[in-house]
Amino acid sequence: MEFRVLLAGLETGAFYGLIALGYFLFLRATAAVNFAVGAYVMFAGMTSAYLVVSHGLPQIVGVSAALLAAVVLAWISEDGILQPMLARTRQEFGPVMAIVAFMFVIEQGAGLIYGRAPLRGAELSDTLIPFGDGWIEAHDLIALAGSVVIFALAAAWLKHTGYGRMLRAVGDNADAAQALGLPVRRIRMSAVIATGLVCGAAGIFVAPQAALTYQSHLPFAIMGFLALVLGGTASAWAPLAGGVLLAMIETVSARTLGGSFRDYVLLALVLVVFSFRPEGLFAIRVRT
Amino acid sequence: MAEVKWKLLAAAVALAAQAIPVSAQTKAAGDPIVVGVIEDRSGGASFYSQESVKGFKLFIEMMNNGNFLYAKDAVGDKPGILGRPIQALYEDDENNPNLTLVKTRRLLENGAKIIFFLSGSGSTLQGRVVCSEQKILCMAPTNVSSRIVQPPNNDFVFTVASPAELNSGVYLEAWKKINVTKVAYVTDNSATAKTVADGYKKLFATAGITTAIDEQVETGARDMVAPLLRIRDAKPDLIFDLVQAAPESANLHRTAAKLGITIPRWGTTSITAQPKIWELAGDAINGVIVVDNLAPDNPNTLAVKAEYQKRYGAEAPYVFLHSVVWDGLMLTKKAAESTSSLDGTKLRDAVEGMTNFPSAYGQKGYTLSFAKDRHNGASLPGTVVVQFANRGPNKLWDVYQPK
Amino acid sequence: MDANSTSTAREAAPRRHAPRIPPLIVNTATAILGIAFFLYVGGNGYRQDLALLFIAYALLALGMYVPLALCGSLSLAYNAYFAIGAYTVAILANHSPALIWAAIPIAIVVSMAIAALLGYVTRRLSGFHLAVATLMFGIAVHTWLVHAGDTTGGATGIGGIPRLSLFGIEIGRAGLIGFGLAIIWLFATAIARLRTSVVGIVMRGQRETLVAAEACGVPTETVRVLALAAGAAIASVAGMLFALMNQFVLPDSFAVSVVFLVLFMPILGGMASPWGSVLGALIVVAFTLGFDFFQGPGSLTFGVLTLVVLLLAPSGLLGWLGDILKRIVPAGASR
Repeated sequence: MEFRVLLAGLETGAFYGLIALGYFLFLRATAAVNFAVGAYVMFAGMTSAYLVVSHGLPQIVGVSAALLAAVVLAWISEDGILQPMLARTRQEFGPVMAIVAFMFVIEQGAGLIYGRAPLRGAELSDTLIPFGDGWIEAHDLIALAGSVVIFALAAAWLKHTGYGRMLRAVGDNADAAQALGLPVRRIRMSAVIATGLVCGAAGIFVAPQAALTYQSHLPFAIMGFLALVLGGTASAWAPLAGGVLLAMIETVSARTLGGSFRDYVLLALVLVVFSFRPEGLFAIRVRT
Repeated sequence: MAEVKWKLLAAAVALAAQAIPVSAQTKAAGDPIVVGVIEDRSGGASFYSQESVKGFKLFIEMMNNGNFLYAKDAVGDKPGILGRPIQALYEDDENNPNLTLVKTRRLLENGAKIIFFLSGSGSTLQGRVVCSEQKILCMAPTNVSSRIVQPPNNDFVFTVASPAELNSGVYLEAWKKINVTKVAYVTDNSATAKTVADGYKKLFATAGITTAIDEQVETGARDMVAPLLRIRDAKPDLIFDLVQAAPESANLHRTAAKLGITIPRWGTTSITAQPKIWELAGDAINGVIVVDNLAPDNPNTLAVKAEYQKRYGAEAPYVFLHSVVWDGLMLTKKAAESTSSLDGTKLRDAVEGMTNFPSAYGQKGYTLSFAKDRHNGASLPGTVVVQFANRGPNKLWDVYQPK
Repeated sequence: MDANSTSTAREAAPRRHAPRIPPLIVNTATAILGIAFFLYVGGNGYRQDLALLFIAYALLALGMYVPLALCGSLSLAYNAYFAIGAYTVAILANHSPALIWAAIPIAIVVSMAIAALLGYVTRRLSGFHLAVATLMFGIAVHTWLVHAGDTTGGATGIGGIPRLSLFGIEIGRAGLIGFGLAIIWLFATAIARLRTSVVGIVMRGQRETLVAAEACGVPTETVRVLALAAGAAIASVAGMLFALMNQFVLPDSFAVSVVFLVLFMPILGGMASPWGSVLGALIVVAFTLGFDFFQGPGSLTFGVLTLVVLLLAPSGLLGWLGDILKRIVPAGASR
């Protein structure tokens, strides 16, 4: 495999993996699939692009604003929408539809605030590393390394910190956790904040790589979900594995078959994986 | 000697008359004439559309103030249309053909007598049905799809910009000069892109150009490495960028530079019409060659450009969209003035009868000509081959220019 | 993660049902409303366009409603069935105008077959897996419409679809609208009856507790596939009317964005009755097109509206109206 293809696959895989990690953390906290994570990524990316490129503010301002925006959106989704709805009904359809409606509100909101024109962010570093006949952008490597670091941090949080370890209990059976005296709300909010930070970081990494528009969130949401399904939910690293696998399949098929087949390849992948191994590569085995 | 004196006196009077300020002509007054505009504010063609609308708004104002620049020889200088002010009504069709029909009819409901389509070609293809049905003069000055002026439902709609058919001839001539026989095409997966792309590809294939490869990039694609490597493997003589969406087009050029691919890159007016692409692509856009519609020495173009930049600033890029919108408006005015009417059929017949109408685009001296079976007024001298340098279409290509 | 999750059952608040309005009254009232609407639209071109969009969306919403409300299956492939209806008419009409009538059964059969196939392939999926899988299918179909130029006319679509004529009389736009309204009434009434019939209750039982339904011997997979097929058939009728009305089909009309627009309609209007889907369609068309105020942010408005409805009036607008009715009519009157 050519190095360029491998590198492209890893970079895209890390990005999909981050979105999947966003789903994962939220899922652990509330047992709900939050399709709005793609919108958090998009909104955060557009925020940093808008502030840094269109208004010339320093990178640190853009990064902080982006992370804050994503956390706020995640918070609203959980506290403002999901919890009130879950208090009312056991069915998951209503709450998730509400999240999807919120996703569209974020979409249209981004369109109103940031305009309909695509926004491209500023690279985290302008350095170009000569390679072969061309170069590799330092920003892409920073994004890749940064994503891996974020995964490491998430894994460590889940395994070694109090709230992280208790997260699984809260997601699986909140009432029992409450009965055991766990600070359910605080644990949930910490996971929601983590989701926001992860999505915000993804947005900051992607904004300089592909101009974002107010409609970019949907492909993000879909690919992130596919990455999550592929990887499974056994550990914090599973979404990364899923993301890289998905991206490699996408990139290699684009390299060998061409771009026009992308939608058919993805459909085939979805049908095969969903039918035969919906629990993903790394599934939690529970002895029942 | 007396004769000379008379001549001098006549000249002096003529000069003095010209010095009388335009305000002597007064602004347009009376019942406004409503012109309906279909634009795209939020969909895939919003760049084009909003760029065109910027020009449109300014030009309407200029018309209402009686400021017709060089065109006053052709259209007179009565302000507005028939002395009445032009009032524009805008509807957003979101580049969604479902909506174009509704919005067009709505414009007519709200009193529009003439329709300007400033959205994508797909929208105009759908919307022109209303023009036929209701017998309303419709102008689609910025669209390049030739299908718009072909049957069915083409009897009341006119286009101004040079269509793909015409442009392809220029590309082919240019490519002969540099011995191009194998081309790699890149498009995005939107219907708008495919419309334009299919048109070009068919014309090139008929002329004997082989397709090295036909690649397609996803809207919103983060990464163009795979398609470009495939293109490089196919060893084309040049890469033809038929991607309509601005970010994807820019990404294509950036990635080509990143990979160190030196195959020459050519594009369509999609690139020259969207300065956003130049901005997003940065230095990677330098060297790209396009068959465009603006020549640097056309005094008509420069006149309209001066007004445009007076309003929007010297850094506001002036693109062919502005010139063709101006032409569309001038044609409309001429049609109305020459028939003293707003009746759609009369206006349509008037436009069909126009030949050698002075234009604000193309090479110096270029004019537009229409006929009953020719609803696109463009011809070869409307095209120019430009090359990007310094992040803008700043150079004329030195190898070939259409005559 | 799926509908069969074993999370703790939160006690749902005991629900008092709104007074059941006898079906005869509902049917008559809606028929009268339909006729009034038809007369209101009349020959006005602009109103006819709005009416057409309403009819198309209402039928799509009804199509989505059937598997969703009855079996709890959220399929998002509706743009595909919409397209099948429209393109079948377009392709056959271009072969020969006489074939248009044949297009009706053909399109219905094709869309049902594809829905059944898709339903079978995804039979073990539920919840979001099903939604995402069907969404990917919808995206693939739209891509195919743009690519397969020889069959579908590619990006520039197929034009020149003639009007239907019955016994030599041409059915114009007004006729198609009347026909469309009648179809909506028929489908909605039929679905409402189905819902409260034995078959319907069995289907809804399957939605609530799959295991219990299967234990009772209900062929749940077959039922689900049938529901999906029925929904697809309704959606393809929407496509047919659309093509006949506009006399032109372009792939852009069948992008996946249509699905998301339609998705919120049953929710807005209320899931307890198919008329909720119709009401939702009416609201969406009125808001995004009928009123000047909502011009730009049409989706924003009704995204916010849906959110508000879900949070404050989870049974949709009809449910909310029903609640109001509850307060007016004494509790003893409810069945």
